[in-house]
Amino acid sequence: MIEMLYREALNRAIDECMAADPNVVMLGEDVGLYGGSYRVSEGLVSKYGEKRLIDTPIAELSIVGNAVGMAIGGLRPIAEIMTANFSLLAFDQIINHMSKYRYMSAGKITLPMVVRFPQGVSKQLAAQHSESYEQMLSAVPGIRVFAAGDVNYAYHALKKAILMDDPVVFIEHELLYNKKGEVDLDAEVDPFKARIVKEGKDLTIVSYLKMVDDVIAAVPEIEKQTGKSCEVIDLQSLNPIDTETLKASIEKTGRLVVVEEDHKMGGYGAQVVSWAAESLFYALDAAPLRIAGENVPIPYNRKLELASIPTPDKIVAKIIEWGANNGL
Amino acid sequence: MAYEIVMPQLSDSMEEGKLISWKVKPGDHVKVGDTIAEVESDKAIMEVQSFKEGTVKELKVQEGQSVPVGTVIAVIEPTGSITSEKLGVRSEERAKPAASNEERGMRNEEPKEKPGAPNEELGTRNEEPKEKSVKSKKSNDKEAQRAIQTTNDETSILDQILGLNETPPPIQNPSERSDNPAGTRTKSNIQHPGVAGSASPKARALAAKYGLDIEALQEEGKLPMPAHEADIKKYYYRRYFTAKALKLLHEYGLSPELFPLGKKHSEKEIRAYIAEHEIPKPEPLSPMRKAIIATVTQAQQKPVYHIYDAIDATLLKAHESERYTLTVWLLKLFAEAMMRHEDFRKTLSGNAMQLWPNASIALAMADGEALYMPVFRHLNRKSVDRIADELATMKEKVRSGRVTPEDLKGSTFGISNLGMTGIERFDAMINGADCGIAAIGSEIEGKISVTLTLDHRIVNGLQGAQFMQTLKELATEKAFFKA
Repeated sequence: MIEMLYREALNRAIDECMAADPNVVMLGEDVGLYGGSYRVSEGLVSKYGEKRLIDTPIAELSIVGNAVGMAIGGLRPIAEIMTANFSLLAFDQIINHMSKYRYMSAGKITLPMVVRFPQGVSKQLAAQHSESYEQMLSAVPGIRVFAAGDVNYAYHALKKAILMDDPVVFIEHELLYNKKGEVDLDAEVDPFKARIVKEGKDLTIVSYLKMVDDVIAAVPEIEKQTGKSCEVIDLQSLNPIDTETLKASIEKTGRLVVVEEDHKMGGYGAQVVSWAAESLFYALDAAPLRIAGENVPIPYNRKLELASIPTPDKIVAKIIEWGANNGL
Repeated sequence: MAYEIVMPQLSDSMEEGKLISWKVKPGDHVKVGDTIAEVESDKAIMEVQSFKEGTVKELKVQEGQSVPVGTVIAVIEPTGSITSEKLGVRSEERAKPAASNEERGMRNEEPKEKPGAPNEELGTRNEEPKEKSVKSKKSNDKEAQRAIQTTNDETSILDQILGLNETPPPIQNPSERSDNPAGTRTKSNIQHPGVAGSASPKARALAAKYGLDIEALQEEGKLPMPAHEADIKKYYYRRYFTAKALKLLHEYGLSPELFPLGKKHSEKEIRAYIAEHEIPKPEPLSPMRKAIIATVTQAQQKPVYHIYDAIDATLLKAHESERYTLTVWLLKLFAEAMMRHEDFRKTLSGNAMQLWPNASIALAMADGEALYMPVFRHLNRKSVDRIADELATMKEKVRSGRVTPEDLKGSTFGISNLGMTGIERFDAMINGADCGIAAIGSEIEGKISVTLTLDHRIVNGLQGAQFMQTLKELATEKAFFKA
C-alpha cells in the first residue's frame, strides 16, 4: 500500500502505461510542457518527449477528433478535456465518431482511447465551469463511462481504461485531485465493479465521485439520529452499472438513496432509481430518495454555490426527514 | 412560546443520557425548580428541573430510553402565554417546515379531512355504500385504539427485535404532535398518506408470502398505513410467539425466523433452544460499567510502581467509633501527609505540573454494581467532625445513585479501603488524573497494610517512600488524633 494523491495516482497510471507501450500518447491543452492544468501529466514530457505528450490548441473538437484518428490508426491516445463544460464542443466527435466507429465498421475498427474528463462543482468557478455530464455520456451506447471517486480506483481503472480496446470516458472530479488515499499497486481491480465503501444493513446509499466523500461524512450523524446502519456504495462504473452489487445491497436493506451532484432533472441518479423500481420492486420497503443538485445553473457566490448541491448537512437532513416518513 | 427541556450534558464525556423516570405527566403544573425527570449520564443519576413555570404539554421520550444530549425531552407551555391552538393555528401547519412549491401544490390537492369518504384512488372501495363504510370506520377506530393500547409493551419489544427502535430519531413528525400528547411513537400515527391498502412493495411481497390481507388488517387497525416490512413481520410474529417468548428472543438477540412459523411458540421452547445451542445472553454495558471501563483502561496506561508497607493500627483502632470510622481517620491521615509532601498534590497537565494548595482525596465507594470515586475536598482545612458529616452525606448519595459530576472532580490522590472484607493486601488503580492511590487492607496483628500505586511521571520512588514514612509516623502520634 502506498499513500498518494489522486492526481499522483492518475499520473502514475499514465506513466506506467507509456513506459510499457510506445503506442500510448496523450494530447490536450497544456498537457505537455505545463504538466496539465491539474498536474496530472507532470514530469511526463521530459520522460517521453513532445511527440507523445502533445500540447494542442484550445479546440476540444480537434482534441477528441485527433484522438479518434490516432486510435483508428493504431495508437492508444489519452485525450484530456480541461473541464467538462468545454467538452460540449467535442460531443460530435464523442457521440458520432468515438462511440460508433466500431459499430459502423462491423467491428473491423476498434478505438482503444480514453477521454479524461474533469468535472463538477469546484470552488467558485461559476456556471460555465462547474457542470457534470455523466448523465449525457451514459446515455450514449458504445462508450464506457468510469467515475473515479477513490484514489486506488483512479490508478487501476485509468490503467485498465488505457489498455482496454473499448473507448472510455474517464470522469474525474475537480475537487478530488489533492485527495489522499492508499493505493495497492498489486491489487486486481475490476473497473466495472462498484465499491462497497461501508457496510450496513438498513439503508443503501449509492453515490459516485466526490459525493461519496460527502455521504461518508454524513453517515455517522444519520446513524446516530436514526439508530440504523447505512451501506454506502461508490458506483465507479456509470455505464455499465454493476447491478449485481446494487441488487445484493438493496435486497438486504430494502431502502435506496442516491446522492448525486448533477441537476436533479434528468440527473444520472434517475437511472439508478428507475432500474431499482423496475428490477427490485418487491425488495423495496420505501420509496427511493434522490438527493441531487438544484435545477439551476451553478452560482458563483460561495453560499449559493453550496446551496445548489448536496452537502453533508443536507444529506443528513434529507435522509432523516425521508426516513421518518418511510418507516426507517 | 413553548419552553423546551432538552437532555442536559452532565459531564464533558456525556454524549447521550438515559431517561430513568418522569416525575411529571402531561397536564401537570410545574413551578420553577420543580423536578421534571431523572436522567442517567455515564457517571451519575441527576434530576432535571424546569426553569419556567407552566403546564407540561408533552413528554417526548419514554422511560428507559437513551437519547443524545440536546434532544428535546419535554415541552412546557409557560403560564400566561397564548397557545397557537387558541389563536386557531393548527399545530400541524405551524410545525411543518416551509414546504417547497411542489410539495405544497400536492398537499393542497389532497382533501384534508375525509371522514369515511371512500378514497378516490381505490376504485373498488368507491362501490361500497357510503353508510357502511362510515360505520365500519368508526368501530375500527375504536378497535385500533384498543389494539394499540393493549399491545404497547409487546410493540416496543418487537420494535427492538426488528431493530426498529434502538434510538428513535429525535425529530418528530408534525402530525404526531396534535393527536399524541404523550409523545409515544406508535407506528400508526407518524405516517402521512394514510389509505387502506397502502404498503411498500417489500411489505406486500412479504404479506403475500405469509398469506396476510394488508388492506383488511389496516381497516381493522392492526397494521399502520402505509405498512412496511417491519410492520408485517411484527404482526406475523405476534401471532406465532407468546409475548414472553418474544421477550426472550429479544433478550438473546435471536431472530424469530429461526423457528418454524405456523404454530405458536412458547417461552419454554425458546429456553430449550437457548440451552441446547449454547446461546450466550448479551448484556449491554450500563453507563456505569462503560465509565469504569474507560477509567481503568486509561489507568492501565499510566507508568506506575508500587510501595508496600503497613501502618500501626493501635491508635487508629483506639479512636475508631461509629461516627469517626476508620475511613474518616484515614482521610484525615492521608490529607495531613499530602500537606507535608507536595508531590501528592500535583497533577500532570500537558507539559506542566499543577500544584494544588489543599489536600483533596477521591475515595472509592461502592454500592452493588455502582462504583464511584467521590472527592472529599480541602481535607486539611476540615475537622474530623466535618469529614464524618461529609462522608455520611456522600454514602447516602452513593446509595441512592445521586452522585453528581461535580462530586467527582478536584482530587489529586485516591484511597481504596477494602479492610472491612478481611483481605490482607491488594493494589488499586489510579483514578482520573490523580498522581496515585492507596489500597488499604485489613488490620492483622495490629498492622494495617497500605499499598501505594504511584504515577512515576509525578511522584518518584524516594518521595513515595518518604510519604509512606510520614503515614507510619502520623499513625503513632497521639497529637495527631487530638486534632
